[in-house]
Amino acid sequence: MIPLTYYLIFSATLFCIGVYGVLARRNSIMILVSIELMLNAVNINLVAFSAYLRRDDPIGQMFSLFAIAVGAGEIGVGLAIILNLYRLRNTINIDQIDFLKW
Amino acid sequence: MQLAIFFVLAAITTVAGIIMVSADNIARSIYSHVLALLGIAGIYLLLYAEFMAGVQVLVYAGGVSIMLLFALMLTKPAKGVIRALDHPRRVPAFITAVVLFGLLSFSIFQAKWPLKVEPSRVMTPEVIGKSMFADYVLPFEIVSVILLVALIGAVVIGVKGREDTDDEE
Repeated sequence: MIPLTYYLIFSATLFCIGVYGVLARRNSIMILVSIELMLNAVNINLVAFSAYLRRDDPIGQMFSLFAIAVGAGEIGVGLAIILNLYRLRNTINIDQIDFLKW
Repeated sequence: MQLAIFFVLAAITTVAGIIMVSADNIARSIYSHVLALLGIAGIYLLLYAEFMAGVQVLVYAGGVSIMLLFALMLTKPAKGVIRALDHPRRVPAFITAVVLFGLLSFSIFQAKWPLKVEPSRVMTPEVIGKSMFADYVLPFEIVSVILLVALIGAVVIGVKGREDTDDEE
């Protein structure tokens, strides 16, 4: 029998690993991958809550399904933007993409 | 028995996540990301959420990872592998992540969760499907529109030879 807190701690661990990845990586694709890891951690959290606390209501899994769908669309658009940026400036290192700085 | 499986899956997923955020080789990073997504699918199976596990493998491990690999190959990082070990942003990022984890686990252990409850076993794909097309049909249609818009937008943004960009060709 797995207590609910184990799933919550596991989800928090993945979320914090994703936070470290977003803050510390310099490649734009790696930042998108870390954001995806954070999305997955949140989905685990939702499904765990729905399985343990709302036992007859599929609301947690519904939320996660739509979050997966929207996240996949977001990754697609983000990668298209990164590709366009690479064609424009030949770099996707975020330290070198500072055109909007004052 | 389930506890042992949970710890094995959690360890695999956490190690894959750590490799993912700290590897210098980006392809290795994306491969360990795929492993982490498969581990998360296993966790969904432990929670008796079979439809979520299937969707996770199909969409994330099977679709988004391939897309990321394509984007990686199309945007080759210039000038070889940059040593990330002495990057000045890693220590504050690590401190932020650890502090956030401390806050989250503190609030998790403070709350009064119902103990010794089993996960619900009734959320079969049949129940999910019936509920999706009965109660949640409006979000379903809206997500279809969102995905259509994202598809068209990604093609429009990513196509070569637009008139308002300065491609040299």
